[in-house]
Amino acid sequence: MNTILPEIPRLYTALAEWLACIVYISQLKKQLKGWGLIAFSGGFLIVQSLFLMLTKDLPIYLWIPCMVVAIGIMFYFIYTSCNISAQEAGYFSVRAFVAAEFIASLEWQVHVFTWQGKQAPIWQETILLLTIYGIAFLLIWLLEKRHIPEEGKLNIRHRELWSTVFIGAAVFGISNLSFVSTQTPFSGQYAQEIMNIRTLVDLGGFAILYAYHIQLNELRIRHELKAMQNILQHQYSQYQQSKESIELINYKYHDLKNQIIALRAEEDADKRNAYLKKMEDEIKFFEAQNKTGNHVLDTLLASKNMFCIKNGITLTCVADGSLLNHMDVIDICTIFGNALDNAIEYEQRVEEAEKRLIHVSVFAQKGFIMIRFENYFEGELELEGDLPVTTKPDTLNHGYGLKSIRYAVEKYGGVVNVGQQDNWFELKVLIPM
Amino acid sequence: MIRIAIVEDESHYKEQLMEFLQKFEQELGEHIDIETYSDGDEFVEDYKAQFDIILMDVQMRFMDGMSAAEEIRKMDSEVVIIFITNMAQYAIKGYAVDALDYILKPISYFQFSQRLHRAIERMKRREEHYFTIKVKSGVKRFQISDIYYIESQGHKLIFSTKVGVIETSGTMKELEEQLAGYHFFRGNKGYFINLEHVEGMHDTFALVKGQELLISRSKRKAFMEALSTYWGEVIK
Repeated sequence: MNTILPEIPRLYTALAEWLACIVYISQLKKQLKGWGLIAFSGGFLIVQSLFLMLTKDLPIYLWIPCMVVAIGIMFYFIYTSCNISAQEAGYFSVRAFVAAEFIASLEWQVHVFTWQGKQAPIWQETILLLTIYGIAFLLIWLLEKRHIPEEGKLNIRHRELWSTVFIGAAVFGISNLSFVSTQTPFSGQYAQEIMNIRTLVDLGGFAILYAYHIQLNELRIRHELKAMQNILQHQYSQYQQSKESIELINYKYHDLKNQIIALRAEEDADKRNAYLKKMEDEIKFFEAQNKTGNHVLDTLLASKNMFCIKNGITLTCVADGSLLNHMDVIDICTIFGNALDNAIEYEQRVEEAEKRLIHVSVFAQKGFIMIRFENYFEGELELEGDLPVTTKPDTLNHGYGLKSIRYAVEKYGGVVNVGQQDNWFELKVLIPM
Repeated sequence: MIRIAIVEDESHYKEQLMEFLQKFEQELGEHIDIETYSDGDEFVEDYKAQFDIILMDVQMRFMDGMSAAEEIRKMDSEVVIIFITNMAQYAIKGYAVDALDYILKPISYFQFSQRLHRAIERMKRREEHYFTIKVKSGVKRFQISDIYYIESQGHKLIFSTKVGVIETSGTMKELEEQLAGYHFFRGNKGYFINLEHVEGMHDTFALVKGQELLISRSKRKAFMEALSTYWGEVIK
């Protein structure tokens, strides 16, 4: 039953693997840029081709280890070129490997079918190779492009990585079983059949991994939306609560004012005045500062300020709240609540109380509204994309505060940016009027 | 040299501010010229735009800080005004007189020096820079702020400036190198926009000195970010 099985030339496999890596690298966040990346990719193509060609004639039992090494080289290529974690690089190298297997197998099947084992002119072979690889990888590139997260991470962890590795290994095993031995229940007997099995199993594997990828992405987006919703709800309910308590304080404030008037009748002038002064100073903090021209902002600032006073943080603010009157309550809560919470959270960790400083300004600058949060900051700010690298242990939930600010600001056609000026962390919001 | 005025009626705070400024002067390593006034009306009467920074108490007997600042803004739009107050709810209105910063009493040296340092830094960034343009009769020297925007057409560069339109020859690439480090943004169709003169944004147009310049959707975000970074660096 043995028909001659022309194997895929190793150079073709190497080229497919290389192209598959390039497809994924081109869409991920790069570590290397420009000529560095080009030179590195070129080097990788040579290494991969040499490796596969030199190991061509090794006995069959060494074939599996060789394939593992080949994937290892792909992993190294992706990991070094991109600014991603090892898990993510592993995930993408398995996907690239399966895609490469599939395309190489597909191309070779067309090749064998076209020339039926006869020697074809080199130029025709090359044209077929380039056409099929070109179209196939372009299609994969287009498919993948829709599901690569723009910023942020895919959150590939051990579980996701291992599922992918197992799917990849199973696909690879079954698709190549007939090449190792025809004596298993799952092996094909004829060349055509064997190649069909390989191509179809690879296609299936690629489709499964693609579906898995989409699912991971959806999960990530859902998680993100949920976290943002939570934050929105949280800020809003905080606002509701503080609104009530501040109304109460206002009421108390007027009450106290009346008491002070009564106290003025006190006989001993010195004693009376000292007492009064103390009282006045004490309540000064609790006077809700209904002065910015926007009630939501007033309430928010008052409640955050109370928290700051309790924690020895100096919060100062210059704000023209009337600029925010066209904005939704929930958006104002999101922007100011989250920005102030982040600043407060950082300042609480500053040891010396006199360094715990936060300054907020809201003003019109030509045809724009500018909102600026500044807080005293020690050390160097590291940015990852446009988010600061977290200083908190919970990295999965990191950045949703800032993301929800951005989400709210973008509704009004504005932008958010963060940065550092000397010892100050700055978060700036710019919205066209 | 930095010229600073202290307008404060309580002598205790006045002395403290003087002391802090002397300490600050040493840290900064730059000479600070200090003049003191005891009330808003006295200060306004004497004002001839001779200061870089004014440290002003909000509550004073004859003329309060806010009214004094209003008077000063009529004469001088450049000076930095920093309120010193124990009543934050008054200073919150500072935006009305372009005073975006204030220092709370009791004054801590740390807060004082930090805020002052930032004000000085922004002030320094506002300093004028010059730029030369080659024209047929030789070269013309311009303040950067006199240039509104530059348009490139083939090998021609068209400068829209305070004194009108000036054409010179040159390419976008050369211009980009010359302008590196200044606050210009490269918009669509070979526009270089001086961020200082951006007045507004409508949909996909930036308003620059009354002219609508196209900013495509793909560049809109980058443009606004550049604008916000620029203003963050220079606004008082």
